[in-house]
Amino acid sequence: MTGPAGAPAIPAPGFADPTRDAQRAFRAVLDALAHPTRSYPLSGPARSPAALGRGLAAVALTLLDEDCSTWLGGSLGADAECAAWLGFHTGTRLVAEPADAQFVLADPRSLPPLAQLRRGTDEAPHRSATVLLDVRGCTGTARFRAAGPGIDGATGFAAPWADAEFLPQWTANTATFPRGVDLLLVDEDAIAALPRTTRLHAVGPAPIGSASAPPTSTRPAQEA
Amino acid sequence: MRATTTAAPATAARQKWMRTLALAEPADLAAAWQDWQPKPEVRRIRGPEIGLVMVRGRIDAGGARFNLGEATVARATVHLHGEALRSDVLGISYVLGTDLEHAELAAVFDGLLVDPDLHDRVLAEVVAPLARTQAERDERRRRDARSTRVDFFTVAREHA
Amino acid sequence: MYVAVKGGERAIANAHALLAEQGRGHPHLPVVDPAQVEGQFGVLVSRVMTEGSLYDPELAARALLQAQGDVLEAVTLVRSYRTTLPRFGYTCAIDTSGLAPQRRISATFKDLPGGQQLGATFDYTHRLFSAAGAATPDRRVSDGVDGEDQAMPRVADLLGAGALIEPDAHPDQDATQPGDLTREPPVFPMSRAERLQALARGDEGFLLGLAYSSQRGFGNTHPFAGEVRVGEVEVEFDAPELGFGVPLGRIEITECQMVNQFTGSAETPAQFTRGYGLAFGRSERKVMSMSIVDRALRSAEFDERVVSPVQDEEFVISHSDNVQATGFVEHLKLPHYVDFQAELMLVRRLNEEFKESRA
Repeated sequence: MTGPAGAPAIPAPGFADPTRDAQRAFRAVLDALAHPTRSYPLSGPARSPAALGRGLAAVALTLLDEDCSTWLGGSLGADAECAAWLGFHTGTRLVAEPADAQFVLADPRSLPPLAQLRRGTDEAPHRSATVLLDVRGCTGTARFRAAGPGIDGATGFAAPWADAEFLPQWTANTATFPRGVDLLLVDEDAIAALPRTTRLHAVGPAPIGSASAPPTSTRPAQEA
Repeated sequence: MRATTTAAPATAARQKWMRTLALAEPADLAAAWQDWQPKPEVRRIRGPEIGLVMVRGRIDAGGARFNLGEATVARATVHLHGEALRSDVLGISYVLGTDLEHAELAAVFDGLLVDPDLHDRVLAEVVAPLARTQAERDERRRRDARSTRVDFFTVAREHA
Repeated sequence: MYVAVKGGERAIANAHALLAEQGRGHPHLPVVDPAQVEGQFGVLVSRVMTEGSLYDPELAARALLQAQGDVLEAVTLVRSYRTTLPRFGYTCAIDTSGLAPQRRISATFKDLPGGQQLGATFDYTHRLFSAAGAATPDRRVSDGVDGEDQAMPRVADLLGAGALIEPDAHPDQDATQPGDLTREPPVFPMSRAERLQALARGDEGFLLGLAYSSQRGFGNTHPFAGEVRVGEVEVEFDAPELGFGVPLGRIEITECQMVNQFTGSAETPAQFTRGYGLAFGRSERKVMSMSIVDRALRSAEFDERVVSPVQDEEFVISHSDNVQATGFVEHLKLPHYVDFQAELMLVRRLNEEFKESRA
């Protein structure tokens, strides 16, 4: 960042009030995970690296620390300012392989196949990856119906960040419960979440709430 | 082995003043800042904040490392801006203990020392007096300890 | 097993108030300032720092005052506090020969280079109460003292030069990161690095008892205090954003190198072996006990038969942490009403059956 002889690159500051701002962001993450698909407001540091944006910066400052490993995808990984800023403020260890990361920061294009990420084990399902997906400016048209803990019945859900590959990947992810990754959908000023317990279904020709009830969840076979 | 043994001269110089600032009495630093003119504009980049470092020792004093236990550390990173500075600088400090003001002032003076135009003045007006006080204190402690040096003699002759 | 109970809020609040009142002492006397504890109870503060595994004399003093002198309560306070702080990272390994020690003695060499330096020690005090009010020294100790500091090489290095003691350094010793018990739970058998970390935060009394047991014959150690050092060392932190070791300041430490007999084996000639102790502050009894226990726990390395408690790694390490120990012992005062009712019914029934069989 700065050498004793070289010109210093001055990083942007983090949260203005580190404790309270992180508590607020943490509450937003908790609320989002407790009520999957619902969007919660999020406020981040005024000046954060452009590649991260305010929302992702806030979540990163809140969740990452010296003890965790992080993989940066796409433009985030390519952006030196972003990597330096994250390292400086959170102390997180950056890793080269998504499979080694506890936190995966990516945009929809650079998101690795979910199957490549850490899913934890049946004994330690918490040792799985958490994906922080940058969903700013997505313009897709995908819609899903979501059901599972935290959702009363089923709910419709616009997912402009999702491509055609996503749904089968997510279905596979939920099938390995209690193993699986959790997904945080972070916008500039809002956050929503898809924990591994949320089941998604394509919204077909039938309108939401019609007779085509979601298939009952099947307990996965324990892996040997 | 200490990192200083292989450090480049610029790094060694910075380590030296960082050591003096870390070892300084907080009241002395506060007084030095009080007297400092013109004051730069200080923007907080990170901290001042308290955290931990794990102190490491070596097995049998010279062998592989092990984790002895933690120590509290206050740290600060500040961005200095002002007319007296050649350009904006970043000041950094890490100081044992939980004194946030000590950490912030140490970071400010570190930043001023990084600036080529102010370097010599800070060294002469702030760092040198602090270093002198510390050297005197160390010498006093060494003399006190030296006064307890002892020559034991065994009652029976050793090489009978 | 215990069960949760409800109620008693007022009684608990009153108990807290009563505790505070009792800890206050006589209301006409001044309240003790933490700085006084730090200055005048330095050895006690060292113990709280060492067993609390956190170097901060100011916090340790505050903890002792709040705990009304209960060391384990103070240690628990310190340990709880540390969990609220982020870990910035690891320091460079401290160099215990880096600064002139305050105290440095050896029981193995009378005339060692640098000399014996007693420092501030209880060793030659008469263990008699001094007259009231005589606690203040009436002279500067160093009045009239001259001479230069001499280098104080480690005693073990003097033996090492003649290959009479096992080497301490190994060429690839920094290739791997040492295990950290505050991050990963212990798995037996441990590395020596992990064991030393556990012993460093272990209970002084427990380690003292174990060390004593091994000296008395429940074990196989024949130790000599090769060297005891007390002094301040510099701590450097490898700050990632700077890329060099940042001097943080100094911490006071106590170090002990025990030298132990080893008769040799088919492959190795007879030479001395080492036991090591290191602790925060002035903690001489702790590091001496620690170094004896450390050596005793190396029995696997030297193909020694494990016959005594002090040589049993799992026994020693699992029971050395006083916060864990007191938690488990003291949890017995939590409500066990349901468990006890069940046992009571069982004993009553067995009693009845016993009487019937006699009838």
